[in-house]
Amino acid sequence: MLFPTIHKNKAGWSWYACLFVVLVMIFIALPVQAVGAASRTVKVGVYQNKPKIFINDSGNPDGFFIDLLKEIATRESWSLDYVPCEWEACLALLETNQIDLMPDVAYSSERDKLFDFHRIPAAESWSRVYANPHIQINRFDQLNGRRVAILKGSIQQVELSKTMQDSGFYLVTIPANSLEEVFQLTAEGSADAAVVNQFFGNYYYQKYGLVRTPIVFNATALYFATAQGKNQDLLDAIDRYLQVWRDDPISVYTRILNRWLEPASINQWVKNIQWIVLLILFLLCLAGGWILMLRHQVRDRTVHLVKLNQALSESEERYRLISTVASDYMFSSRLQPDGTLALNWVAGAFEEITGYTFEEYIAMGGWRAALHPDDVAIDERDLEVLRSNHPVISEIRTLKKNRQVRWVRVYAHPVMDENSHQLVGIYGAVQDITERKEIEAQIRQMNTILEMRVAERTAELARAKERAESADRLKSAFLATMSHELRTPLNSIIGFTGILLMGLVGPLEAEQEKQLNMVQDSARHLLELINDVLDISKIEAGQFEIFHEPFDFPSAIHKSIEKVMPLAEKKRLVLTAEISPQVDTLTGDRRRVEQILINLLSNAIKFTERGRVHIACEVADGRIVTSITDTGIGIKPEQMDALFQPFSQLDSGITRQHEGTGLGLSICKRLVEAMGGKIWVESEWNKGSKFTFTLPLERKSI
Amino acid sequence: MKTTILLIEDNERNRYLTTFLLEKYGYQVVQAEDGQTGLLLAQQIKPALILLDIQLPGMDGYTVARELTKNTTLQDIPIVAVTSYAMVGDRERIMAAGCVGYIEKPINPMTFMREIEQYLSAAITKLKDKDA
Repeated sequence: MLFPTIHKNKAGWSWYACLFVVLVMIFIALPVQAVGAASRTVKVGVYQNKPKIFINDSGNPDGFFIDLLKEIATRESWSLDYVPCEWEACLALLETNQIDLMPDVAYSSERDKLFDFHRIPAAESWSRVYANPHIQINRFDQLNGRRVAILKGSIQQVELSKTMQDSGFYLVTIPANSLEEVFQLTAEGSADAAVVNQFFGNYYYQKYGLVRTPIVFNATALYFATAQGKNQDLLDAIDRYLQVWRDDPISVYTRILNRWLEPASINQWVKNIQWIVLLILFLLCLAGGWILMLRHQVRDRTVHLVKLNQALSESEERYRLISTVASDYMFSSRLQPDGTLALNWVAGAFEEITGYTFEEYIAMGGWRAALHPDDVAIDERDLEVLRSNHPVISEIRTLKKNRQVRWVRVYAHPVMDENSHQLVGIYGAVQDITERKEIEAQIRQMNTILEMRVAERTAELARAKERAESADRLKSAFLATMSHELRTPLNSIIGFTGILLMGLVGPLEAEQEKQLNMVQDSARHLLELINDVLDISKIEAGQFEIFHEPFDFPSAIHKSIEKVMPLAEKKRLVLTAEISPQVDTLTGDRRRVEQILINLLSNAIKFTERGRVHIACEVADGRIVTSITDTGIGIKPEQMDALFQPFSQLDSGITRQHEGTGLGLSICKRLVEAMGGKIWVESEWNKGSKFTFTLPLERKSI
Repeated sequence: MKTTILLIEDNERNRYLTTFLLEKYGYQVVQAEDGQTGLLLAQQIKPALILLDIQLPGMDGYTVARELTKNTTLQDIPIVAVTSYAMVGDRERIMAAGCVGYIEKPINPMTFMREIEQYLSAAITKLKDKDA
């Protein structure tokens, strides 16, 4: 009811407008004639498409395109001749070259055959959803099942229906004859939402009390068009200015754009305010009685809305899977004539993720301009994949409006032209994965630190090992040298004592012989010590040689017994042997095996004061098992562990009594193990000990 | 005529000890204090046996043994190393240098002479085989 009233009023002013147009025409023409350089008269088609282009209340051409054209015309010394016409008629006039220039023409391949376009778009337009304030529409899926008012036969109508179908939604379109009617139907509740171009929508939605939703789609580039091959100079001139102005945030262009993009200007309001006040008063008077009825209707409507909301909640539940969450937005882009992709529509958390409004985003340059500079190559690669008709899942960095870096995951599907098989657009979703990426980066960093620590620690250990090994080598070399140097004087001591005792120098008195024997015993013990030290150092330096030759094991036992027999006889001990007939040849180092046997036997004799020493030998599980049992003092349990360690002679009191090097058992253990066997001891304090060692019959290579 | 043995040994006491023992058993001993002298003396006297210490000042025992075996007029004389070297590979290196035997120090006077006589008789047998 509101709108037609205004319309009527406007018609009343029309003759004033005519006068004004004439005056303006004269005013525009005058300076051109004065200068005398009127190079061109440009006939411009003007039709009604507020606020882009229209005849205003004063009857003058007005709007974004007119303002822009005027600025260019002034600079180019064009004289503008406006030709009012209906849209279709305008295009027909242009085609037949009856007008020179037509503003506000969207590019399409069909139109490209009839007209010429300049290169740089004069403006971008897209369709936007505006909602009745009682109805909440913030997401694409919330449009499902809604009544949507839309301009009859418009591209938007086709586009929206298709998009909804593609997404598995449906809606009821309510066709209207004009954009004003589209808003009117929505404002009065005949439709839940309106779809109009954003120029019109942003300019008028507040006037109609509608709500602007974040749902936009169907981006198109708008141009000035000329008849084909007729007015290229005009197009070139327009491009020249747009080239400079569009990249300059404080240019004439930006000023004009802002003027017509802003919601209805204050001037307009001031102009209309008296009429609006009068109108409201009039309506209040005229329809005073209606108020109660309206209230009643509102109450009914509210109940209806509550029901609707419930139904909506239920349906929302069903679409939860595809509905957007705070970190997602869906998008569709179209390939432009220049080969770039331009965003067509978005829905969801677009503003949260990019930091831009849709308009700002387009003006800033869109997706590619918001990419992190280092990731442009990834985007290029993705685009190539899409061109080859394959979907893409890509993780890429974008910059928010505040220059903050965000990681997003892009799911993009190609849309191919059925005939040419060329990429014509893409659609998909963008998800903010910054948090996940940050956590991943932290994990990676922690891993790196850990790896570094491990490497450091390994290097430290390697150094420590190196130090220990070199110290070990030094020790072994020292022991070997020392042992060698000690032998030289020992040679004289043992040699001369031997010569004297042999009587080679002359007969000896009993006491002389006794003392020389003591010298000889001591010298031999010293030699034993030296030999053991040398053995240990050789073993520890890894310089120990083990021969592998077959030899008769029983004969080695007998030889060892022979060697220790004098000691046993001296102490009046019984020495017995029990060798199983199965024991015969063993492959190994005879000298070392004898060394082990002699060592164990002499130990047993040394630590046994009375009773016997028994050696038993048998074959079991492919091994020769040899045990030496004595009835000696035995070993205390707490001494068992240290028994096979070097220089671990048990009990210092006993040491004096039983001379030894303290190395014998540790040498035995190392020799047995080097030959692939084991050695162990069982003992009871004051009862005796049993030392057992095994040697494998078949020597496995180590 | 007494059998002559060349003793190459740098330690004075050890030289005295070995010489005393050998002379007691009826051998003639020619002494050399270093390898160089030893080589000269060997050339002059052509001993029946050479007892060679390995650790010598200047030219070591290995070199002396190699020089002796290189010389065609001396290569049949058996060389027996008498040494306190007892590290891994010592025995192999000594034999590789040309010695026929190896007696480890400190020597045992009771068994030393028996070993010497074994080396001598082996050498005589070998010479007889060669002549035949």
